[in-house]
Amino acid sequence: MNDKEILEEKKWEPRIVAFFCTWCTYTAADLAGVSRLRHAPNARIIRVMCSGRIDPQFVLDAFARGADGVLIGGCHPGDCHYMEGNTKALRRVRALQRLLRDMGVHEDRFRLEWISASEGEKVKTVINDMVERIRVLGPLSLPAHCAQWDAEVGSLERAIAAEQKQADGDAGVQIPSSPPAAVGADQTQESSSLPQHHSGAKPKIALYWCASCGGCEESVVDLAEGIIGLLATIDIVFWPVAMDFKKSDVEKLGDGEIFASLINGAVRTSEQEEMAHLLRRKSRIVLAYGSCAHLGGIPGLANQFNRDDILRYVYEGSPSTVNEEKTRPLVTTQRDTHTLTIPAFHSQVRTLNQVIPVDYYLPGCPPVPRLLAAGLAQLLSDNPPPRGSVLAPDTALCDTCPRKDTKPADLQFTSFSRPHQINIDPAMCFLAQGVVCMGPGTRGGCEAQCINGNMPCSGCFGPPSNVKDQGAKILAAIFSSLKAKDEKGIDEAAGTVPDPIGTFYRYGLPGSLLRRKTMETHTKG
Amino acid sequence: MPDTDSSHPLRIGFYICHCGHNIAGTIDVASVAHYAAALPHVSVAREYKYMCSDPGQELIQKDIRDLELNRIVVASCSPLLHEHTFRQAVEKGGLNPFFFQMVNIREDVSWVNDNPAAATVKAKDLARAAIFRVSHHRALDKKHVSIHPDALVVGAGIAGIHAALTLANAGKKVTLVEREPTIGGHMAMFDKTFPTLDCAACILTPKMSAVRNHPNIRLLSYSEVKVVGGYVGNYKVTIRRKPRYIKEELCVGCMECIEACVYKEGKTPDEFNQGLSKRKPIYIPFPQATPQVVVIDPATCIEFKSGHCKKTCVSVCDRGAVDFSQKEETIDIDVGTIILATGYATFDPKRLPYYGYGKYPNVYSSLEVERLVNASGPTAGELILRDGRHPKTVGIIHCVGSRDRNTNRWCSRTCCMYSLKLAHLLKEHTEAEVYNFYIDIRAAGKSYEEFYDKLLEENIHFVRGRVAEVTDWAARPSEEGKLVIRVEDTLIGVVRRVPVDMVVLAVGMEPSADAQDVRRMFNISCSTEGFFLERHPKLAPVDTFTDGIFIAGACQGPKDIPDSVAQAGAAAAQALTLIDTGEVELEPNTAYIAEEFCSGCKSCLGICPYTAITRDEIKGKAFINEALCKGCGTCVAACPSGAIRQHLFEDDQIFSEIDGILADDNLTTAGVER
Amino acid sequence: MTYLYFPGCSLRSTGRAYEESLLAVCRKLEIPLHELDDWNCCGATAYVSIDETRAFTLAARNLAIADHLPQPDGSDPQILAPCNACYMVLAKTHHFMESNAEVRAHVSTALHAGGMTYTGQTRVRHPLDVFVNDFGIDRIAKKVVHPLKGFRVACYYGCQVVRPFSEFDHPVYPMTMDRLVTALGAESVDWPMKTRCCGGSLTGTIQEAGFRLNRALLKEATKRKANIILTCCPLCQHNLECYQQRINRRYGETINLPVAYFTQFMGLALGIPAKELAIQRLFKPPLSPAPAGKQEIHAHA
Repeated sequence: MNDKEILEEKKWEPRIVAFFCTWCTYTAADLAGVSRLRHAPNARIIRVMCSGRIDPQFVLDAFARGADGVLIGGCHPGDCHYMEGNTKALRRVRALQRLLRDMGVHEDRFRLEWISASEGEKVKTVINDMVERIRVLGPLSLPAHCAQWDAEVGSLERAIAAEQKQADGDAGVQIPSSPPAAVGADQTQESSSLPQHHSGAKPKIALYWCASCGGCEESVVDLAEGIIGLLATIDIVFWPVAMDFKKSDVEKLGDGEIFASLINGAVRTSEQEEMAHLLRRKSRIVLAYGSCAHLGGIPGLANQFNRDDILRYVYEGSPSTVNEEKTRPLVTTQRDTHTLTIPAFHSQVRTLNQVIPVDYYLPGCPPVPRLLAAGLAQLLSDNPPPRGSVLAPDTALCDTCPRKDTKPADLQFTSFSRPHQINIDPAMCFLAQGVVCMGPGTRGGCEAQCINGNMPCSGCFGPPSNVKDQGAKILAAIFSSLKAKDEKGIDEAAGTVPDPIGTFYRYGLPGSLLRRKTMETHTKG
Repeated sequence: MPDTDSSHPLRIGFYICHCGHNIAGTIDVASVAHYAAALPHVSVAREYKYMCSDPGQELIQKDIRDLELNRIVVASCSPLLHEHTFRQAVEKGGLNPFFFQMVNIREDVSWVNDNPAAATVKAKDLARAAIFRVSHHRALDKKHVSIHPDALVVGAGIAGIHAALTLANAGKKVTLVEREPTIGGHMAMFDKTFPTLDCAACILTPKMSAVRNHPNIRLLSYSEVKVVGGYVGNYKVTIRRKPRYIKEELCVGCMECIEACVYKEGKTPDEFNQGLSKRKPIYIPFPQATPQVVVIDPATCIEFKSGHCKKTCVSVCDRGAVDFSQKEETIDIDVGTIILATGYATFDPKRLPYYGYGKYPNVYSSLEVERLVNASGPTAGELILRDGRHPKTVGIIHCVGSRDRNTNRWCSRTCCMYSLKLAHLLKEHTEAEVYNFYIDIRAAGKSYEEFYDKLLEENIHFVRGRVAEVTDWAARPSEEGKLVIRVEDTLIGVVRRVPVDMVVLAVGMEPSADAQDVRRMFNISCSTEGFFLERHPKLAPVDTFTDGIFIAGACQGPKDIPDSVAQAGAAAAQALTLIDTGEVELEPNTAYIAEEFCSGCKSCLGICPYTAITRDEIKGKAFINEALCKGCGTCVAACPSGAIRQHLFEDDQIFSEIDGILADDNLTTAGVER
Repeated sequence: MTYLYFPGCSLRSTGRAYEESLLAVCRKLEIPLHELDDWNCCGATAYVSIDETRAFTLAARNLAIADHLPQPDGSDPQILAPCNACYMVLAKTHHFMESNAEVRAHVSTALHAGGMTYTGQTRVRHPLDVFVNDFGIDRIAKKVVHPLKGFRVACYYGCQVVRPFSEFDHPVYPMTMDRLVTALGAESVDWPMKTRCCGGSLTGTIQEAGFRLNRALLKEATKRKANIILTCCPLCQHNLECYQQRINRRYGETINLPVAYFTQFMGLALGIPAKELAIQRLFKPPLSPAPAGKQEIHAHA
């Protein structure tokens, strides 16, 4: 059901999640109750001790779960019961507001209000006002949108299964249908049975690339001499970039016959989707290999645009395109008696686990050979890690960063520079120099290669396990430590990060809580 | 005893309170209970009329025992009111008190909603959120802090004096800080007090003297609080003593130095006499000042300005008490409780230029008139106007600055009574015709109405009408040389011009000029009017939202002396409760580090305003000192690894609450039943 | 900043002296004015008591015209309304259009029928405000050529310029004009009747009432030793100036005070010739023309 139908069929009402600090705003809300100040019933209050407790992840999670609006209430500046918690909240909120604007969420949906303990009337007017503004905007309905987006995956998958059934039905081979793609959720296998490799025969390994650059394939090659040792223990049955096996070879294998498929790249086309499903059926273990498969990767940044925008740009709008008839490729076309098909271009970039259930993740853009070798060894051992694990250390990069000691304890930012804008001191912590480094919010294990190349970490290993949304968390960490305490100063400082999505979600947009720009409001670019 | 971990299945008990009609009158509580019963892990869902009552609490306790419940959710009023009550009840039932979550469906839902369907749906959403959340609660230990037995009282007007004496008489050591050179506050300036017409000084000075002599009270006059740190039971306060340039312990108050000063007469407007007389640079605010010590004002003293004074004050003092080299002193004290009794300011009548204050010399504020009629005032109690005349007619204007959207909206509570008192005193002193111009006569206290009655028999004229202006424009010869009060006499429906010799403005009471600075220093709140905010206007009028800090007297809102004294006693009692219990329980909502996930990235170190987070150099990880942590959670949100958690407000608890709120996409909050 | 000059009906008829002197002063101070295109009568205080909606529509039409004449720098248009009644009515209309949804709806519909839209950007200003606050008292003082010594001025503001929309001065004790005349070298008299009603149109309808009010003002000004009253409204000027003899006859007074526009006074100080300031239109000019060749200004004794 689309929004219009939702609105027409039932009387839709805005749903607002409100985070109120105990000492001021929650008390004011109680006062509104005591004073019987009736107001719109659309807000649901979650109480925290201080507005400084509010993690941007909460805000994004609320939107992702279907909130139409999020309201934060805290003490007036200067009045925080805990001295400056509200200042930190303000800094994070301003940065988050910018991010949400870039993500296409209308600014009326996310609001910060300073409401003191005696301002019961203000609680009423703010909630009433916010409800009315959101009523005009209509529902945001991100879960419903996700369901719509994922329907395209589901329909393809069902079509494939139907075809297979028809093809194999006479042969009597029962093809178990693959598990349905869950709505937006992370699909990691939680079953307790552990994969065992076949004793005797070498375990079969498949490698496949979806929407990727080839760097992950390179990283396997980067095992260098280690490959020889590896090849002694495994049997590669499919690796399009390096070996001549075909899809039909995979189809001939039995279900679960492949020990592990290492699939890299994000899923963008119907072919990638099909192959993902195929390999899932044929494999005991699916390992999402590299950032793109793990979190969406660089291709994931395309989730800031609509498919139409992309195709129009590529086939018509780019400066180097000459296409006066505005010809577009079609998925199928007839030539004489032949039907030619090319893969369909999905509307979203997806992480691998948004398409098929995934057992393990090897992060990195690309993964480091050492972690690949260690990871494979773990999987082949008698004691593999729990299903769903990310095969990299669970502490942030700072733990092993050679520049850690140069980071001061009381860093306060007034502005940020991009790597090309200053001469970066090769011995000093990047953040101490005002260069955004994702290190504090990114898993380590990469041996700090970028750091040693005098470039800041850009977050390719994804967040540690306690973090749901890497971009939001690092944004909270960095912006909490701004020097400015007023809106103008905060905005000025935050404005020196010109592209929050590209900076904080460079590898993780499809895997983030919002998954993509909502296209509710069209912004330039 | 089901103190559960992951091996025990969750068994949640859900209770929804009717609260009489307060909740049940709007919300369909049975439907909410029925709905909750079907949610995951809910073993029982009940409704009851008054959950906070003994039977209500016993219901929970019985279920914990009989049904082996290990989580409790109560949907009723605000947690700020009864969370503690229910936690104690849960504990008595044998379950860790923190396996409890409260849902606010009264203040937050039934009291602000007229639509039963919408309110019921909202209650269900919130109930579901709490049920999801409580599943993630963990057992916690209560946090106790000890209470330092000493107390601090800030402000030594009648309220501060009474609070200090009460605490001192109970055997506690009290530090009493007063910014003026003398204690006594505004009350010391009054001539007589209503309704008994007791002389203010007569009833106040014995208390002032008691303060001076009490072994348990350390009086720091001419001093101000500069820095307040710490938390309930453990406050660290820095006090700045301003230099009097007099050695307090040597001065006996003989005042020979004042007499001997090179200034033959005073040139500086006397603050205590409201500027109606002048004082010398060396002075004592009033003869019965406590402490009985003079003070030198460096802004007007020749010695400070030029360094070349004969210093006759030094030579005439045979005790050697004058000391020009005296410096400011800083004193640090440790106290467990603090009482703020910082008083009020009067409304500045210059803000209403149409009453002519500051323009016409014979327009006075009420406080100025108190000094005029006082025997130890600038005119020794004789009513002499600024131009030397004795007034034959006086107009007293009520509600100056009060009950007015343009200035202060509130009623200042005392002005009607003191205006009646001044009317009586002026009549007594001068035999003049006295007019009171009022909107309403507010005489609500004990014997107050009787006082008003008496005045009606004293030939005092009462005109009901809000004065429009005081002007010196004479419309007829009889008004020449007089101030004309123009007012609508609403009881006879005529606009009147009343010529008078003297106008008295009954100025209202406001918060002190630095109330906002003071309250920030003590980390309490102010209400919208700017007075210190009480925890609850009816049930906790002297507590603040900051544990261990209490307020008393006019700093909390306009009130008269009996009420100020009553509040001072109440605040002292509250402080005594803490002190005598010796310790207080704090919510264990501190933050802690999950060390295995900490990368030592130092993002948190500068975040904590209480410096509770430090770096363990050996481990290379952050460390939180639980004793210093106040539980705001700011570091929890700022940790980029999610390695910092907060008890009672864990990420998984809050995420589950968000999930619970939005889980059922019923698409409507009105009209559609689930 | 080019101000949109709104003369109003009076400044083209009985208040001509005000317009002429105002324009002369603006020329001298190089304050650019542009007469509001196709302006109409503001309705004054009378209309709004007969039919509120129509009265607001009438006044709002002027504001709507101005709304579409923004400054080249994009700043909001500003109407300069010298007559106190026009000033008050336009300001009141602006206020109601902003705060009262019903009025806004009616007026917008009416304007829309005439193809006009009201945006609410236009501000309404009075010349006293513009001279003293925009142009600046110090700059005016520097341009004074004939300091007006000897004049003891009773500044009369009337009620409508300071109440209820007293954007630029105190509603009961304003001082803008007083500061201005002091800067021009004269002495300003402190008197309590600065904003007391002059009777408005009562001198035409219920003369008794109008005369009583005017008598009080004139008598007090005389008593306070003022030798001139300055006004900023054509009706105030008319009332205070034109009935002195009749008031004297009726009440046995000996009032004889010149009453001029403050702009005429400014112009004299700035050295503008008397003819350009329409001094000759006053019943009691505060200056006598000097022998040919020399312009002299002296106080009316």
